[in-house]
Amino acid sequence: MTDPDYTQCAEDHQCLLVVVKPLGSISKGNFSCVFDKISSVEQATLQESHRATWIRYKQYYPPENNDWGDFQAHRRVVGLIAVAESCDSQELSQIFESFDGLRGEYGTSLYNWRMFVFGLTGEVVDQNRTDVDFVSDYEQLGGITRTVEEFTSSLFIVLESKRLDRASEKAGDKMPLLCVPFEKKDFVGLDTDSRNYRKRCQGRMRKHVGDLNLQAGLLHEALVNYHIAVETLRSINDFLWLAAALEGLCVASVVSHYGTTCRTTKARHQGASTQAEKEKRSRAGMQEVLIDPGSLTTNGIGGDPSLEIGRAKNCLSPDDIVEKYREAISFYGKYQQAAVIELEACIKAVRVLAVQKKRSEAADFLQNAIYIHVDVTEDERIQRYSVLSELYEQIGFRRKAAFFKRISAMQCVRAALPEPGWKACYELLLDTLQGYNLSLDNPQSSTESHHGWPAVQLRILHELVYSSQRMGNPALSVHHLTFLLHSMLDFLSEQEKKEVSQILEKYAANCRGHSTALEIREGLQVQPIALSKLPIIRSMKIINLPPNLRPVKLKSGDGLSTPISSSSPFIYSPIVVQQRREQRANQIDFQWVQGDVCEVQLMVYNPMPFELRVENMGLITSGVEFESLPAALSLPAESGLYPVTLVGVPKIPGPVTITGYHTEVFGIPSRCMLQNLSHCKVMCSTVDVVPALPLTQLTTSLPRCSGLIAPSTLGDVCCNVVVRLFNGETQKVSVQLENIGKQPVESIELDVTYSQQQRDSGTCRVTWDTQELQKLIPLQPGSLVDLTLSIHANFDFSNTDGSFTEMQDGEGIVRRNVSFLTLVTLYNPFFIPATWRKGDIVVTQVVRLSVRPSGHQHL
Amino acid sequence: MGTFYFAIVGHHDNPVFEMEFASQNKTDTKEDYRHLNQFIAHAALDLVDEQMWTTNNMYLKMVDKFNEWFVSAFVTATLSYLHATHMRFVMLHDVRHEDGIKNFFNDVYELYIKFAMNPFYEPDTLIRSTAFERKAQFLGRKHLTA
Repeated sequence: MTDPDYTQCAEDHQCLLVVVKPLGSISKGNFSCVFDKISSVEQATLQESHRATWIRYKQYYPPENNDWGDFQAHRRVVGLIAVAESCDSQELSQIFESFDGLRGEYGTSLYNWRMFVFGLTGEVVDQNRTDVDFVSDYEQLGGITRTVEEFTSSLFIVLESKRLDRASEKAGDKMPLLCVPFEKKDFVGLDTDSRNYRKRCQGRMRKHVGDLNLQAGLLHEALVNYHIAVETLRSINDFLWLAAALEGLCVASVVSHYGTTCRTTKARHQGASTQAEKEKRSRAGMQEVLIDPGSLTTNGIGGDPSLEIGRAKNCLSPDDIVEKYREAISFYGKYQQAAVIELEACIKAVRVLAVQKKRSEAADFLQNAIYIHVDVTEDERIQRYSVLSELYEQIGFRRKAAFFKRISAMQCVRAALPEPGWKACYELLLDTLQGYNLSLDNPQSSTESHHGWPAVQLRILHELVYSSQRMGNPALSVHHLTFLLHSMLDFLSEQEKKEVSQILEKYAANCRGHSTALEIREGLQVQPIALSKLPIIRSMKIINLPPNLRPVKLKSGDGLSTPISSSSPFIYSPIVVQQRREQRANQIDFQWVQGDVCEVQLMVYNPMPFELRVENMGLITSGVEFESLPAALSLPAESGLYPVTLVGVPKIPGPVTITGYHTEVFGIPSRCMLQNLSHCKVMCSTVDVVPALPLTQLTTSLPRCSGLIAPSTLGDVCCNVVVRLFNGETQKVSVQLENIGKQPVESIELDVTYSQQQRDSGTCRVTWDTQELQKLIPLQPGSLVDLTLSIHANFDFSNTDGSFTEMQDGEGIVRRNVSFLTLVTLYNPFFIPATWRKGDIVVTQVVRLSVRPSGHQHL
Repeated sequence: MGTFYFAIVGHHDNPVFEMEFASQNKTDTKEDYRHLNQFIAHAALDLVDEQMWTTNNMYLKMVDKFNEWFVSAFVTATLSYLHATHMRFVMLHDVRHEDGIKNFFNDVYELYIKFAMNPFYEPDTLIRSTAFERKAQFLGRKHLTA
């Protein structure tokens, strides 16, 4: 016997097997429609009784399996339905011929047969074949259901008659010996009158009657018959049939304990098992269904309290079921030719045990099933391991399920195969990921809580990448390789890191990484992986504008320094709202200016042992529009903390929040959001952008000072010029002011800061003409104006202490200075004087002139 | 004698310690075998998890078999002050050697307890200690391949 049926479950013993075959030129789609319709008739009832029998439908069934129909009644094909499509009468005769041929294949086991022919209309319909139904088109499938119901009822009737025939045989009658195909030659020439032989016949027949009873829905009788058969066969050591009788006993007990709640609609195609079916199997039959006597499908006893007693007497307890199954399978194991039976029995037992939640026993049976040697084709082997894996999944052994799925995936692409099935391999490998604690949706990125066995996970991921590459889907292989690099970065050795990056670059050169959700298979989508570890961001800080470009809030005109945040009507209140220290520390107290280049500093770290090239690194922001200017950088191997400055230009005033950054590494673009990064410290990520302010430049034709440079107290940009004056002299200095920004300058304020000394002695005065100044504004962009400043020197030489220092050169000549150099420091040659009005608050920036004595002396 | 692959597995299926023992006549353990051993050991964890509740012993004897490899297991006891409860010791071997394996497990268990008592060792993390490795090697030679 070939072709183990992996979808069998214990309840199949109750079913009558009907084969549905396509004939002629019918298309696959149409045939499956019709098949679905036919299969919807799952039960057949008799008119008189309340009993029902179950029907199961198959599309492929090898006729040699039919020969085992004596051994186990559910293996025999009792009904044949053919579905054909035809357009003309010539084809029809061919179809009839093939139908008869089919019938011949299944020999005498058929109880009844039917054929549906689609597509023919009126004139050819007058056939005198009663077993053929002509249906004009595919819309009338409802009529088919009725026909099928009648058909199945007829099957049931035949079954009943056979059962009653057999049941009425007495123990003393001569009965034929039922055999399995490989036994036939063993019994040739045996003495048919010996006691042993007769007992054998009786035992086997009893078992067969039990089968028929089970199919007919008479559980009680079935149990009784099986018990008798077991005892008879055990006494003569007829192991094969004894095993079959034990199995029948187990099945009948399972049905009576769990009812038929374990039944699900079988998959249309042999061996396939859908997700929904798996769920149904695991949901249904969770607890033992206590049979309500009134709702039993058995007849003849129904409602009779003796049923309960009968049940208790003959039915096996759940533990006994396991025992008997174990015994049966060990007996099957003695017969090499019964390997398929043994395998199917193991699988059925495991399904029962899964319902009973007996995981270790189920694992035992499965372990046994692995080593049953069945001569199978390559496809079969793949299917076998897949089914094993599914069964392990059913009993909750995820790791074992993943293991066997992987084995079946490897079988798909064995070197010996002419055409390796890479797609199938890929699909199977995808299913194993869950068992290895990998989830494509959710890459783990921290070492502390890494789940799973890293070496095993790496291997599986590599295999996934390879199979997706061979399958011809480069986008998938890029995604999976990125996933590998990201989630297993900490577990790769240096050499592996190099290799994986090189391979990734090579793959990405062909197919760029995706930036939207990628569909791996139907119903499964994955988001692009954000490579947040290449490079690792340790901290992010928003940098203030350079000091000369910072906007400054002007105090409001009346001189009262009102706090910025006060909008209440109270002028003074003793209650001061305390802001928490860290909030204050975290808040940014500067603003950015629209249209100006603003910076954010990141401290990054390169974990790779080679130089990492990062392209297209920029900021992702939310809030107002912010144009981020990407940068490319190259980080040295295993660098320490490396500062990186990312710049951008805010386009619109308002609050800007830095939410993340994007990079392109090895050709893979990735967008990392700061909130997802646990290792990144961010002080504050929101900054206000004020509207554009004008930009001016101050130049002068005065000579620069090459010597002493005044210390700049505020860190401002400054330009030091030198003016030489004689005492009493007034010199006019011309300073050019150019508006190099895009906004007009609305007001200019000049403020001169004297050093302390100068203020006291009043030695130097700088004045300008305010009228002239007022005429200059508004200063349009691009225009250049002149400012004239008058510097007047007035030194009091009569005061000889302190201001002078006597200097002696080598000759001891005391020199006195007659003039002194005045260092005039013009602060902020680039500044932004302007007004920005927001209510009463005016923001501007001022230019400062600072005058200091030089202290130089010369004659 | 045989080849042995020993692993201590933590709570998240992560191997905390791995070591191979081979008798002198076996020349080298190829990389492929190492990978396959890891797969088999990982798959056997299901059975270890199942069987550890059926018995009071720490030593679980043989829990699984695949091709020529047998898998024996040992589960550490619950020690509340150590937080190193139910660490699973898994041994893959191709010859039956129950006594030797049992003694090896017991000795390694003692070694592991002493190591885990170090307050600086965080449970469920990789054991990086040359002393531990040397002792484990010694025990392997003594019980398994001697």
